[in-house]
Amino acid sequence: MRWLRSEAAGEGLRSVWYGRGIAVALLLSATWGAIVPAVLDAVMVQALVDDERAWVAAGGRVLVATHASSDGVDRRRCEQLGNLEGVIAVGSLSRSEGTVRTTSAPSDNVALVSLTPGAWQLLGGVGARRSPLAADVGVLAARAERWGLRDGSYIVLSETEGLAPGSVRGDRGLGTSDAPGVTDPLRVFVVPSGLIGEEFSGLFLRVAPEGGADACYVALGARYYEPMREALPAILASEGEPAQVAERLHRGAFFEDYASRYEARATRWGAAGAGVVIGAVWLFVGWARRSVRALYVTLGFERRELIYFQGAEWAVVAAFAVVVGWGSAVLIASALGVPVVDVAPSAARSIVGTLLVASGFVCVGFLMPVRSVVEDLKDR
Amino acid sequence: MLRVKGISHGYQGGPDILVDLNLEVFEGERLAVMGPSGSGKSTLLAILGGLARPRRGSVSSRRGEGGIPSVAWVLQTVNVLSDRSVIDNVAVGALGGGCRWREALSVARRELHRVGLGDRESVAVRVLSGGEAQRVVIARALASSAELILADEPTGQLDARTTDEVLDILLGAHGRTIVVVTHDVSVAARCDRTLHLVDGQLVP
Repeated sequence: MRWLRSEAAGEGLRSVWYGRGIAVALLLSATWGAIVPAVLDAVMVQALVDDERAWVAAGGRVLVATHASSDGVDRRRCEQLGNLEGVIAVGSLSRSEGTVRTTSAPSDNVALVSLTPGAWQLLGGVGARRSPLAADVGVLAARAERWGLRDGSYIVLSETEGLAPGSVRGDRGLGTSDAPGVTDPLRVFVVPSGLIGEEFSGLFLRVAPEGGADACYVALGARYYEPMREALPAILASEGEPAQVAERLHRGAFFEDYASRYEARATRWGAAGAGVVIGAVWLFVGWARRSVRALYVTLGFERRELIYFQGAEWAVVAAFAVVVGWGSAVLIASALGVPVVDVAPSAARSIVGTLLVASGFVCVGFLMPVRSVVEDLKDR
Repeated sequence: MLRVKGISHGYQGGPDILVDLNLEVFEGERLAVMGPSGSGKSTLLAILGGLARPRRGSVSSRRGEGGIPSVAWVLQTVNVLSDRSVIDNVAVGALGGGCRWREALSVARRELHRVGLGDRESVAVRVLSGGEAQRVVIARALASSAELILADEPTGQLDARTTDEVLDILLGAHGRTIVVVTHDVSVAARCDRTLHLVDGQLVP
């Protein structure tokens, strides 16, 4: 006769249940060992994501194409780039030669910038809170603040100066020639980012994608940036001449390579490190309790029963660490500003990684010889 | 029941402390093994119980060479699961016989009554006196279905009165083969046969 497997495992469960100090120490070390690297990594990754978003919002992955010909860049071809994979937003912009005044700031002469529909997304930046309507007039955030305007406020263009007839004609028939100087009230769309930069500042009005533009702005996904940089001169070539393509933000010595920073982040291996620590604690506790193991050997345990016994103990510890550790990691990280939707999967991955590494040590513990039952019993 | 043939054994590269030792343990007998400290009594017991393997020689039983009977242990230092209750400590002995926990608890209750601890089954074993704890260990050995009980100085840390109580229980276990290692002549006197371990050999 020998131990039933289920009873050997059950004895492992009872060992944890009644284990008092050692069981609590194991549960806590495994749980905190799971929580700490999960939270640290989530916070570190979130900081990187925030940095990258700010960089992207500032034009970090935007190419600016211009053309030396008198017509500039073809607006329609520029707009059509939006159909290509990896292009997040694209639009063309043109400065008017004249200026306008508004009823909100009658003393300010402001340039008008016409842009094609796709450029609205550029103005809002990637992930704008709302999409601007066709009839909106875009106002840079700094100017809107100076003029006391909010998103959704209305302004009226009161005077124009130096605008050639028909030079700016909005989709809604905004007239600067037919009825110069006066428009219906236009709803304000506050442009929250500096993605376009200072090169085009003023009031942004939407126009149909026809004719030529001063520049074509193309916002790209990370892995599409370099290929598009290579291809864009040919795509926007005109009259046999390639377009000139520049980076909205120059990648100089201080360029932040976020992908590399993500790969090289210090917390990347935290989960594995914690797994090693938890595994080492497990092995140490096993060594400290070797006389208990020896006692079970005198009760008929062989290696098979020891594996079931310790496997059940580890299963309880690991399950506790997964459930409590994951919940705690999500709570702590979200309290530190990491969105729950981001930390929930990353914490799960981290904790599973930690416990897989620790499980390796537990398996090593299964394989360790029962040194000498006689000596272990004498240690009691 | 158990035949030991020409075994020699020592520890960690040292000289043999058991030298070409022969022994036969008969079914149902109560055998005492005496000898001075360091003579190898506990080592012999470990070999009989399968916890140590001799350098040379063999141990055989009716199950054949290397096949030892099922064994229960009663040791000098009280070997209990200190975090567990009295009844749990006894029930784990029964589990070794292949039964389930509920059945093991039932067996444990019966054996605790036999050793006089029936009213203390829920008590944490760590609060028991030395004599009570040793009775728990004996109850555990009795709860197991072991054919052979190996006792290493089972009364070594007990006073005279408690020693008598413990021996009454241990040696009164009918139908079990018991091998007791002891320094105590009075313990040996209560056994069926006594052997002395001298220079690595057993002599009457």
